[in-house]
Amino acid sequence: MSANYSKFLTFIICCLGISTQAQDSLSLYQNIENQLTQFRILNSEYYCNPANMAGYSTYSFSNIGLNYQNLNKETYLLQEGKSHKTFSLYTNSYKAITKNTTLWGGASYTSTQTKNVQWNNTLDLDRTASMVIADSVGGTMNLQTYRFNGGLAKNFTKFTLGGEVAYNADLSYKTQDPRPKNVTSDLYLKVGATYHLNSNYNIGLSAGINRYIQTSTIKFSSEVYQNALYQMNGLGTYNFYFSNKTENAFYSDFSHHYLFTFGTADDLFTVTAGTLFGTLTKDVTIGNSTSTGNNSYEINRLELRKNFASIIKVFNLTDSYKIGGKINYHKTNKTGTEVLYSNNTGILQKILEKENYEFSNSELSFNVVLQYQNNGSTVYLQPFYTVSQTKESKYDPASQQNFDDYFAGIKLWYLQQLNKTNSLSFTADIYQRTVKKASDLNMLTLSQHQGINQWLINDYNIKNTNYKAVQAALRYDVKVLPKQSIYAIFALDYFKFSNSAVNTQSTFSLGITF
Amino acid sequence: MNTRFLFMFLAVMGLTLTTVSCNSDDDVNTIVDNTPSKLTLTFTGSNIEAITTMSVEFKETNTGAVTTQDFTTEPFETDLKKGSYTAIANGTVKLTSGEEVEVAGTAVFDLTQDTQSVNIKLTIKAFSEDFIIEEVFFTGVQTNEGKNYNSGKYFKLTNNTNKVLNTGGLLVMKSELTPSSNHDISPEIRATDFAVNGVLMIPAELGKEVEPGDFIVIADMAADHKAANTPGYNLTNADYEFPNLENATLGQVDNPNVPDAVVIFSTMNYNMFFMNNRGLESYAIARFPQGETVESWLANYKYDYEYPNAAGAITKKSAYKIPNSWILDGVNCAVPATWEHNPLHASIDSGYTSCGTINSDPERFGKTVRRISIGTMENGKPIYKDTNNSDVDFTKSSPSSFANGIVH
Repeated sequence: MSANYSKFLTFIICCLGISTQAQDSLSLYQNIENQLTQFRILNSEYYCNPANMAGYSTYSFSNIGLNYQNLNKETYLLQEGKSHKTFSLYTNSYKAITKNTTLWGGASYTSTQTKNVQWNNTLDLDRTASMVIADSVGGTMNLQTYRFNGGLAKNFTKFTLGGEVAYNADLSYKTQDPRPKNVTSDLYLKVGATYHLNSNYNIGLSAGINRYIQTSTIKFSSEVYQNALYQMNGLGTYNFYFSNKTENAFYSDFSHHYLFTFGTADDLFTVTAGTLFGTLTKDVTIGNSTSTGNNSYEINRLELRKNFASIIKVFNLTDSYKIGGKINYHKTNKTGTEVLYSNNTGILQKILEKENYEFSNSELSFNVVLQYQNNGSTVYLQPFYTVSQTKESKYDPASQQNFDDYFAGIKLWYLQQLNKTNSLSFTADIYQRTVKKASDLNMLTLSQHQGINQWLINDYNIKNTNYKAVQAALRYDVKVLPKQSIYAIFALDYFKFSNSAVNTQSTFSLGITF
Repeated sequence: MNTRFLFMFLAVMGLTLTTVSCNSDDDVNTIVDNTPSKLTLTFTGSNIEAITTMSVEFKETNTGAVTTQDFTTEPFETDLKKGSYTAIANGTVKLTSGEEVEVAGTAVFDLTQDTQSVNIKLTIKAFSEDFIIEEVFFTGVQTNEGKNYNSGKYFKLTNNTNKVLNTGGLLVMKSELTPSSNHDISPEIRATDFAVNGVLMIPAELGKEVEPGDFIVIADMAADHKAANTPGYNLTNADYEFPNLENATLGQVDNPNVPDAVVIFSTMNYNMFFMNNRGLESYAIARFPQGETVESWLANYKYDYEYPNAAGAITKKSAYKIPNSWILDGVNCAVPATWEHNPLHASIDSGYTSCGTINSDPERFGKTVRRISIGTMENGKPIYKDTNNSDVDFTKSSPSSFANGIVH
């Protein structure tokens, strides 16, 4: 691990080296305003086409920083854990190499310790959920994460081409029985092009692929107390044959996405629409691997489909005032297939496949944007209203839970130049989740396994609970050299649930921007 | 530079499209819906004229779902979800002789079609006027420090008849096959014989008379296993013991006051008769028929079998067999979470019993499987349930009957 850490530090230093000339001659306020501008976040979907990254920032910039985060939850999904402490080292850079060529990249190392993770021995729940290896004991999961990404966009006379590569690797483990060891490898590759219709409009297409694998192996130190391991199928059901017989899983995911973008040259009007197709498979092995025999069996498959679209329009009312809006739509659908086997002939044979699980989530979000900016200060307001519908179903045994939520709140950002060498900024997301409609608890089919039933009910109760949230951050920047400044960020997230539980997260970051 | 960049871009785009098109070339699989199949059952067996009552338990391999269906009139049809099943039938039939007897049978089948027929071959349940297995303590105990304590296990055999029985010549056996691994064994002998990997025998000269309703205890070591740090049971008053003195790691010693049962066959090292502490085996008791001796049995009842293993090769093994007709009583033990089949034929035990519910269940230690009492004899001793279906005849994860020592 220490060798990996040294290599990573070397990589970060190299990144620092190539980007020391990234800073243009800007005032501290201009630099920070450029980096933190909320319009870029508003346009995040549009920049998924790497060709559009040519207009991502007016100026070049680089950051290197340290981050420490402490999260404590009084109410939580058992599979996600009760609390975590995270330390990370990160760097990112965006640089216009020439007038027509833009380069960007980033790298990070994160160490996370998550306590009280129960009913989950697997990483990346957003991908593997419903198909995890679960146990009733749980424990502390230690996770090391490495992230790298880099991209290039190049302008030609009538079009712009871009490409981006990202690679993520995770390693996680527990130090008490059951002891999972998970290793993931996650490669993204995307390319895109935009065609300049005239001097003001760009139309673009982008395509990308993602290849992901996770290898999970669980061991026990004790030969006497070996807890049951369940190969889950969704909503508390598990594969009866392979549970307790297998202590491993191999997840393999391949997805491809396609994106259409249309926007003005100044990115104040953008339209983005895209779709993604993916297939995640889960294999387990029984017995020792041999050179002649097949002891690996596919037991689950999850088909993923995503559709998303957003439209943004911002008007420059005056030099100081901007007003605009954004409508955003996301829909995710997962269909789970179970593979049934027969052991009646002595050799395990696949006999059937059964579509038996479905998860869908859709979100429609409406945003209004207001910004006032004068010499040395910026105020940004973004009221929003989001309607979310989530449905999770199992056909056999029939079981489901549905939640219709809405999120209403406002996003604030205030940046104030204190003097030529100091600036202060404050951001806050204040919103509440209201569960408008939820399926009855009785629609969940409970089993004879009391522990799993309690897990299911806990999951349902949390998803059926309203909460109010305040996520605030204060950032202070000070210029120490003509082209370098340092910053410190303190952030506090506060979630108050209607059952009186409180979840808090505090974050402290220290970094250099240049 | 521009040309080179364009070439690289096109190459990457080409790679993307190539990978996408390769991905769509997956194997074609049969996706089925959740509509149940129509299953028609037939029951066959020697001299069976009519089915009087029949209850069939279907267990699906992949989901563990258990469905029980009673059949009274023909055609014997039921709706069942598609999957891989083990069916265990228990019922009564009228024989061509007019006699009504209890029967049992098992069948395994894959239900993949919308309509399907399955035959279950029935066998008349074998009941003997002899000892029955009342209790088996195979889990053992752990010390208070959580370490395994290898001794203190026992069999409790009871005279459930109304006549005096002699223990001389009794055989106690454990199965070669495990309920958690269902191999495609050849030759399959379960309908006629019980494959065993360990046999204890109470020598005829050590036989003793047992009154109706009374019991004997055959312990691995007739000693007090209850100590300050060991929550075992006091088995000092056991009737027989079978300590293994060859394997020093067991730490077993001989009690000179208790006669020894003899291990006449074992596939284990040091000739041990050592019970699996998860209960992944079946037990039975038997007697040699007239004229059969240990030597003649060892000479004539070797069981060589083989099965294809996961690697695609053939595994060959050797054990011994006891004809079902010699068996007085038997009980299948298993872990419900890993059960796949029963080593004993359904005519001897059509179900199984257990201690704990999951593999290596830490809650199993100190627990036994014990037969259910259904009344008392004239002498006040309990009468035990014996339908040759241990699923209903035994209490799973039962407290030991010897919590206060062996008391008759």
